[in-house]
Amino acid sequence: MRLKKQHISWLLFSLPLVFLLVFYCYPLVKIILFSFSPGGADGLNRLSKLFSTPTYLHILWFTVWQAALSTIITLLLALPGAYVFAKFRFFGKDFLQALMTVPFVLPTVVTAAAFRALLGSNGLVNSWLMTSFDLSRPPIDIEQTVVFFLIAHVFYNYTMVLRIVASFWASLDPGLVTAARMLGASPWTAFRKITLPLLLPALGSAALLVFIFCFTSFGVVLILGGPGYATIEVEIYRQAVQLFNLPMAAALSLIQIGFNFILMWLHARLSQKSKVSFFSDAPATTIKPVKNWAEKLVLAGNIVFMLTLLILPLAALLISSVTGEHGFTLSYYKALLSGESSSLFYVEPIVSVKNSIGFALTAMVLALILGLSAATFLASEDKKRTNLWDAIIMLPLATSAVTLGFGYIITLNAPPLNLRDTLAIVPIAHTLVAFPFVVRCVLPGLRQIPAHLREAASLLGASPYRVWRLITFPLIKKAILVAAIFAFSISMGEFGASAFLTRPHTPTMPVAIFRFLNQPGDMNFGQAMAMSCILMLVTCSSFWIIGRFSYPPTNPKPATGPDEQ
Amino acid sequence: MSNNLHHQTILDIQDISNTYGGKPLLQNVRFSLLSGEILCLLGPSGSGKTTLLRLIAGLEQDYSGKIIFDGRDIDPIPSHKRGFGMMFQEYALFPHKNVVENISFGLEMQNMPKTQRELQIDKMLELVGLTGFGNRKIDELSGGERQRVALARSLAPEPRLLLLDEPLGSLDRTLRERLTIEIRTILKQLGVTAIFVTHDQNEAFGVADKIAILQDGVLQQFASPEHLYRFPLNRKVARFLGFTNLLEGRLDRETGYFHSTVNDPGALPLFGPLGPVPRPDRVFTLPILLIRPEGARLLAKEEKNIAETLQLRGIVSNRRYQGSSYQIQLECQTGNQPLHLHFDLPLEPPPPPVGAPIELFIERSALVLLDGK
Repeated sequence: MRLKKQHISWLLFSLPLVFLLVFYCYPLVKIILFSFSPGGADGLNRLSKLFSTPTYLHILWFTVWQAALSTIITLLLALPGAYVFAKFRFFGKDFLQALMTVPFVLPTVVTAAAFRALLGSNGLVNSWLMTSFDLSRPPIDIEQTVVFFLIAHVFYNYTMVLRIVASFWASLDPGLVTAARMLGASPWTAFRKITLPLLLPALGSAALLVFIFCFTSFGVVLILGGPGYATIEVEIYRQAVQLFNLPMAAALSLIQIGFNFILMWLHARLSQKSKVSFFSDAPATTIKPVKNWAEKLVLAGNIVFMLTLLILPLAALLISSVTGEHGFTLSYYKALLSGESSSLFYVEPIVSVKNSIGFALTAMVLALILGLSAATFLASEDKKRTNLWDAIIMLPLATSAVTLGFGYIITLNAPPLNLRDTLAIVPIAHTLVAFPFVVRCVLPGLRQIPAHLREAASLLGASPYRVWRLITFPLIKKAILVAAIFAFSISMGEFGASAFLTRPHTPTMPVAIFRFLNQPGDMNFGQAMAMSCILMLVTCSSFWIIGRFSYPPTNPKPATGPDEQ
Repeated sequence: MSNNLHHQTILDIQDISNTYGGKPLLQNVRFSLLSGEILCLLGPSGSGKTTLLRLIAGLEQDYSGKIIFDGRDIDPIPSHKRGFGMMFQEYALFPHKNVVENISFGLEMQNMPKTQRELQIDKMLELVGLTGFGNRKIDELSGGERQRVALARSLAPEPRLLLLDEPLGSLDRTLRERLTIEIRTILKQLGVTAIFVTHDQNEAFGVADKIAILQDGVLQQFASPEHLYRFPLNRKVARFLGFTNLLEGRLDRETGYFHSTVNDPGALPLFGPLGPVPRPDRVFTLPILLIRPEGARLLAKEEKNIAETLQLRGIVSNRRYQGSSYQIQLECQTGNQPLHLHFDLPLEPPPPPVGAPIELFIERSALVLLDGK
């Protein structure tokens, strides 16, 4: 029997589907069942108890409240920056643009470590202020307060909002504002009546994304917030790992899953309607150099803010990693290589680097296989008919890593799937998080290849396999490489699921950093800094490589050179 | 329907120059416009016509010279306070507002009371033939309908001057021709002073009272459409208007006769005296004779020996049927190189086939002398 084209692509698609079924749906269903049945007590009772207990209600309220506050602050700060990026051409813009990808790719644990290094009680700013003004106590005391992780949330989301809003803003027809001006509107009225309403979809979309990220914030809150604060995510972790109250963790997970699905659904609806895309770089035809002093002031203010926000924490991290009691030292890095801190680890800390890289490579290969299969299927069919399948593939993105990790420890620890003690469980979780990104990277490229190309090759005598190898693959080679690095970096920085799944003797780098940060003493803190620097280096350099591949120098530079400032 | 009440200078452009990207663009452009007149700025792309429009609108600010409107230098007035209307190439209709809200925008900026606003909007919708379209969204409109909404929006606040930047540029040919007539009718009905930018001469002829030809930032000619077509001032203008029959030569000021220097003088197979041609009064350093293509017909037998008629002989080297006429290319085999001239001939009698000899009668009014520089 001859296999038809459709059969082949369905066969390919069954691979990611089965993977999703086993490693996504099964744990999720188990969480739902778990929160309703075991432990003797009635599940519905537990849920209602959860809603009636002030502690849990407080956690829910706090989760919503801090996410909303983070969103508002981020939007207010990012809007002027977006204006500057959408409208002006200035020296160093490319550098800033590259710098702005850093927070987005930085693992949460590293971010948390960086802010501890900068603004913590023993942080650089405090020690500098204490020595300069001869103070006995650290003047900035925000450790274990809301302020601390709110700042980290702003750091995380500022560049994302700026990117989304700026590219949308630059794509707005400048003629609209001109038209409003010619109809008698002052610049401010034109902004209020024309620009702002037109920006709303982008603002809404960005705000919702920030809200989702802050709502599911785990690492930053856990490390910077201290024991006094808990979002739902953090509480799930505490209930499961520290208190072993698995049913309660399950009930919380259920709530988290519900919230996440609703929020992601809202976001999908909104971005579909407004065609706002994080991945699109709209051609900016309206960009001009700054002219008057008011514009220069706005520009300078924003650039200083960006540099402060983006560079200071990272610089603090680097400095802290090589500064001991008596000035410059490499002892933290050396300590990572020795087994001295074995009270925390069953192995030398440096092994975690080896673990992380091993896990990341495995996850990368798995994610590529699954992602390419899924993308091939999605590209082979009519776009409208694959919408549903596309959405299903994206489901893991709508589920927080903590819920996934929790789901894994309650499902994969017993037959038929006892993976708890195998090394496979971490890469599998990472694959699940990474492979939707692979699909997103590869699918646009695949869809762009005209069917005529493949048909022509086939009529010239190429077998389907050779068509793929000689036509399709070369055309999406770059996208595949980008996807691979993406998957690798996601796995390297993943913390939420890993916090549940790594065994004491096989920590990953983020988990190792977390353990160091949780222990008192300069040596532990220093090693956390050193390890964070290594992780930052790995992720940033991989994203730098992505940047080289995915954004070739196509930045539209207007031909009019002389008026460049 | 020009209104006699007006006829006073409303806009005075005085020696406008500017630079674009470090290079000079507009060079000492000057003209003035009477109240109620429609001016077309006509020129190829890059000629500076849109820049000039944006300078008048106040959207660009760096220039030297003066723009006087209604007796006032308008340089210090920001664009939203000039009271000028503008219609854009891509219409720039606000996508988040419907038809009525778009038209209403300028009126709201004037703080016009609601009832008065509604009256004005209804009037505008009727004027552009879109009554009943008020609640439509912009993306539900066709190209022609959008264009009308844009016109209504820019006219609603009763601008003192309406600026139109290639307002028909993105429409197809037939729609453009229809809308050109409509726009002129509407503008004349309201008596609006307007400046219309286009690169299409047919559009300019259809809509304008005056045409300003801009090329490379220089105002080449400023005249009424009829005068422009009849007497293009120089070779650049003639070429831009599509004229190809341009013969270099020498004007004998004594007799008023023109002698072609393309070929051996006298060898040009033009029978009969060429001149006197129009405009012998002007002094051209390098005179050029233009023969307009529609000024020729086949020579009838009985006319052949009349000495005073102007005749042209040659071979038909190309012949194209254009529906309402024939375009023929006439090749005169004289001198070193063949000379090619183009003429539009009436359908009856049909011209001879390609390769056959042809004799043409040339109307004296089809001849113009112009500056070859």
